Amino acid sequence: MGHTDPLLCARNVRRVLGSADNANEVLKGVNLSIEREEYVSIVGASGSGKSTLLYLLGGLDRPTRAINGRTFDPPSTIFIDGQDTSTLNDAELALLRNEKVGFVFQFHYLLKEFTAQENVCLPMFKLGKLSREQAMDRGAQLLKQLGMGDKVKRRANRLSGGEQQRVAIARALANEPAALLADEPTGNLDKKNSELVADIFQEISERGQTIVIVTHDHAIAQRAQRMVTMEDGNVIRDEDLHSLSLPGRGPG
Amino acid sequence: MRWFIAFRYFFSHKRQSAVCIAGVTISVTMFIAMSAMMDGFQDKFVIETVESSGHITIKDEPRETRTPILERVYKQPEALLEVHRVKPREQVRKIDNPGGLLASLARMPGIVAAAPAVQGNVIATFGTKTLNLSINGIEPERQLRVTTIAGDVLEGSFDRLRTTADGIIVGKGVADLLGVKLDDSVLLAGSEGGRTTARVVGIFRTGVTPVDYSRGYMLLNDAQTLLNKKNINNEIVIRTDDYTRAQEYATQIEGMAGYRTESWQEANENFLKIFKIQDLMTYIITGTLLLVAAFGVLNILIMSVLERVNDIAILKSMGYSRTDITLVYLFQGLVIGLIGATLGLGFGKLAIEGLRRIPITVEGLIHAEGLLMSEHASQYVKAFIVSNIIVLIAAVYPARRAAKYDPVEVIRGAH
Repeated sequence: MGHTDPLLCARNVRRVLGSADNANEVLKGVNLSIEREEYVSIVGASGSGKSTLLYLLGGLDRPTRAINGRTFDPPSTIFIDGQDTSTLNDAELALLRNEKVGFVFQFHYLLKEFTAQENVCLPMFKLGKLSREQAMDRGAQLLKQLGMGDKVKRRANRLSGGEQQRVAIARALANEPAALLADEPTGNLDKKNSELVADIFQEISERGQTIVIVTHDHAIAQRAQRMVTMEDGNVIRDEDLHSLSLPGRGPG
Repeated sequence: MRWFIAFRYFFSHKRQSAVCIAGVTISVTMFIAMSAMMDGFQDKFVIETVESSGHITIKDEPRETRTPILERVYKQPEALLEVHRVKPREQVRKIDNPGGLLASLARMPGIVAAAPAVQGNVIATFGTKTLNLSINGIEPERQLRVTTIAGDVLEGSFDRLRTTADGIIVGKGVADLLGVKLDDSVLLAGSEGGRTTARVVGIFRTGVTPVDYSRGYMLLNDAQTLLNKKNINNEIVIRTDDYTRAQEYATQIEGMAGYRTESWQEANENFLKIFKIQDLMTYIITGTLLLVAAFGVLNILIMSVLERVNDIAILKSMGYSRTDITLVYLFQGLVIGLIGATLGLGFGKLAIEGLRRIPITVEGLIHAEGLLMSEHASQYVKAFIVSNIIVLIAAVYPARRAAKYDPVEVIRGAH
């Protein structure tokens, strides 16, 4: 797994949800590559498959490998930092996720019994590279960088919605992930807090963090370097927002 | 990290956690207290029985019923034997050459002491009251080496028995039923026609009701005369170095002596069976309590899982595995079990001390002042381990259920 590989790569990715009688093909053979340090937004109507694609890119879900016993050619596969996720068992995939990916969701999903700092530390405790004290220091530092320095010790359920989402972003960045994947991170926030979160994404992207964001908010999507548009389980447009539109750009 | 999350979850629902812990604590407390009470009763019975009656008794009878001589001669199963007017040969029942047997016993490893005795039943009469009495004719010096009956004497002494012609030491129950006191004279009538008036020179209480209400000790010679068993010993009472091995020694002695040799376990087989049923009842009662507590743990952990579906999803999204999630919930079960069982041991100990102080006279199979409580470290260990295992088993289902949640389904459900 060299650095010449794309950081995240979807190759002919299909995803069928539901049982055989009620199957819904959410993704219909998506090809997409995310390079290092890219800031990519994925847009599309509800049900177009953008969130499903994000979960697959982050190893939170697995692509459908076959329908009615028929496999696909080429196989429906996700690569994370060059690693074919289909070769990993659930525990190995969880470890890869822990090390390489940070997720931010529409709802912050903070653990309410824990302080802001402890929530940020949870991925670091799992990775185990830092001692407890080092992890707590880094957690406090990340919160400080996101303007939460004075609320480090506050219980998660005593923070405002915007603050909770900032803690969730800090948590996603805790293990210095290769990719930060955000699913409608501003969907539950007011305009002011949405702007603040968008600014944070912009700032960390400028520091070289790879970001993939799924959003309905066109203004936020436009802040990315690249915008992928999905419709009915397919990528219909892949635009470099700083130059030309490249329809159907795939892993090559 | 898993402990960290488990502890935080555990302490976030203090009331529910306290209820779970209380359930485990109560069942462990009950087990400790009930076991101590049962063991106290059983230990008292066993110790007093063993100490007052000896570990092993050689009887003057063969182990097997003798096969009639004709059946021994005509072994063919098809043979039709019809014998009329069979008159068994009259034999004087006794232990032959008791001196030789005592000498052999003295050489056996594990045998501490042995004492010859004669035993038989008489009718005791005092005034208008009569009572069946089991007379043990003994040699006091030897008898006191095989039993601790001297320590159970309430009034009088075995020294007086030695120096008093036709003296008798009776159980407290016998004395109460007959209404006799020290130095009263009791009329004794043996089944073979012997009669004597014996002076009460001692009253003992072993605490074992069947003994205290039926036994009397006389000098060997006096008893032999009364029972019409002149120069006859029909029992040899033995003390071993370990009463728990009495059955093993009894088997060896029977092989050597050729007489039926009864260990205290065999003599009290029915009581020991009742004790086993008592133990079973204790296990059933406390086990039921523990099961109820375990269902409480199961219920509360399931509620906790349902309440924290989002937490589980986000933990999985950040790389926590199914094993991690399973352990978070198992650890909560373990914390409940450890705290509950530890408190249960403490409260159990307190309950034992409290019960000991209840001023109550126990009358039944045994006599005792106050509840008899017997503590064994093994009961504490057993209660601690079993309660933790059961609570841990109760935590398995919620833990597995938590681990099974698909984070994507949970997150999609929230949209």
